[in-house]
Amino acid sequence: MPRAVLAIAGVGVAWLLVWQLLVTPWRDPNRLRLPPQQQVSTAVPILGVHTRLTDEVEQSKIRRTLEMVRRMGAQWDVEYFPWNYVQRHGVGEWDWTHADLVVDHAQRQGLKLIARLDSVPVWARPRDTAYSYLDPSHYADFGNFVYQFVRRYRGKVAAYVIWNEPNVSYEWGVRPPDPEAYAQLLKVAYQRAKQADSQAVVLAAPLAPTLEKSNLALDDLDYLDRLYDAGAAPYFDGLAAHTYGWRNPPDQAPSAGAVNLRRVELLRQVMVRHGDGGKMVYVTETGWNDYPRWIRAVSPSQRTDYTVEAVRLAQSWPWLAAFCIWEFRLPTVTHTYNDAWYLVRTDFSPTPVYLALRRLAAGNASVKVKREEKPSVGQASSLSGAEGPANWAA
Amino acid sequence: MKHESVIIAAILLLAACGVPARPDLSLERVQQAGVLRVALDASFPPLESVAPDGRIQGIDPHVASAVAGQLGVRAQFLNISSDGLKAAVLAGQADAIVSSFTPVREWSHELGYSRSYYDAGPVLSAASGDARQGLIGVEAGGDGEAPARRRWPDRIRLYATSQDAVEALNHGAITGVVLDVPDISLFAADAPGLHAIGRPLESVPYVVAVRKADRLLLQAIDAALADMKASGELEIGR
Repeated sequence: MPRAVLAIAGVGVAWLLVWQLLVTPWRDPNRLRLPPQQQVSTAVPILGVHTRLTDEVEQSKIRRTLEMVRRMGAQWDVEYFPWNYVQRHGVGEWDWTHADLVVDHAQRQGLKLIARLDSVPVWARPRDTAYSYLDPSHYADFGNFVYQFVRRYRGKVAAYVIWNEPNVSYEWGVRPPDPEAYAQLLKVAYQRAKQADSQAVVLAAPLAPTLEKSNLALDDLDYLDRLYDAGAAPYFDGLAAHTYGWRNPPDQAPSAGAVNLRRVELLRQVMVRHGDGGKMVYVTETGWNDYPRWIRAVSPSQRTDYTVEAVRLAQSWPWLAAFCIWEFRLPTVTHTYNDAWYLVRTDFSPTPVYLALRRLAAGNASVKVKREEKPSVGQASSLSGAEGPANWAA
Repeated sequence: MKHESVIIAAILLLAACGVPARPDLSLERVQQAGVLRVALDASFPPLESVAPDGRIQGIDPHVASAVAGQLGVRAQFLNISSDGLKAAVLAGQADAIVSSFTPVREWSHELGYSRSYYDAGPVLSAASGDARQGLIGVEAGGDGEAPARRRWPDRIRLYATSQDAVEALNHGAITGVVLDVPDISLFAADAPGLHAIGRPLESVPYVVAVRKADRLLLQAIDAALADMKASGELEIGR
């Protein structure tokens, strides 16, 4: 074979090698491309958001989302890491690709990340059950997921939330809520988290604010009481909490018979009553919705005013670590009331709430708050701001 | 050797056939029970809400009851939060979701979707006069803004809310307003005679959702909806 042919072939092979080693990785959308380290500048250290990057597949959008969180002046970010995404195929199968993207980008933006852990893979639950169904026989599998998660992200995650709203049936496997069973699950998860990192901050699950007392949902105050009675206190370092305003202004007084922002103060009272007042509360979801056809929604201007007012109020709670607004952005428009929680729209354009919070976090004390009493269209008044009735009707 | 070949061939044949599917008893289950269990979140008028007497009312329960009637059963409603609708169906607590539900592509491996029975997309609306000329109001940042801008680039006036746009319509500042179809009935009290003109500018289809495996039930629901469409029964709320 002529030497010239060999030389051309050699150059071709070398070019292919260079392409494979240098160019192809850059084309991989999941290859980590991290920006320079940033820091959050804020006048409101408790301010945070709940992002929903779970189904955001594009790294550039994950980065852009978290950049906008930082620029808003939010230092806390709650994000959902479903177990069934990480360990979808079985006990020995782990896929950290997406979780790595989110955790590393959040860290690079200087955010304090709170990781919510739940959602059961198909292999760990019976057929025809919901993603929230976890039988005690698989608590150890969930504990192993928690262990692996904490070990992998030690030092990068500020706190870990074990499960979500177990006081409502659909978050507890479409079974009657069971605080005693959740206490067992929390114990397993806590112990495994501490094995992975003794400094890990483990939060008990946030409860859905509700007045319901049925197999479909349990009053959150009652549930927390029973959780303590079940001996759960040693197995969480802080309490995650959800507190929504529905149609009520943020300063409305708390009451066991009402769902409003300050209901979280009643959760706090339950903690104190059980001798657990030394622990902090982390509000991982809060906010108002301005969807025109939802009976628990407010007008757009009310939403902005109430949210700003709520952040100011929350700053006066010494037992509060974080106050995270639900929700920052979704990857797609849903054409439902879910679109009306956004701080940033799907196309990344900021809403008036985002802009108002950014001004507040920048130290602008004159962010205008006006109280508007005009109800939004389509609102009904029969439910008094409580969770709606949850029962069968013919 | 021959024996091994037979075993391998049998394994390959089984693999090609796949695991035998479970028989689809979904329609039979509903018909034997005499009830179609429908999950909805009755907090979104005019699609679904709770009447003062506790009844579930609105367009969705109307459609669900009519579909159940076509199946020879009655509808029974499970009123739960929107967040729990999918779980209720997947866990067998309900047979179907009829609740302002748009098909979510990411869930299509778990849920089967019927044909659309209602289009909630943004539509040009007017109370009186000629909306073919003059300014058209639309909520800034709402679903209707982008399609309205594409359709009438020189005639759009933005408002903070749809309600503001309807008030402007009443005052004669604009001749038409772009609203989501369900909002027309909500604003009817503020603007008597308010009605849709033509079809939605963009489709926001509402569908019935069932478990993916419940194919026979879905087929029966689709057939019922087709009958209702043919009879004009689905021309609702416009």
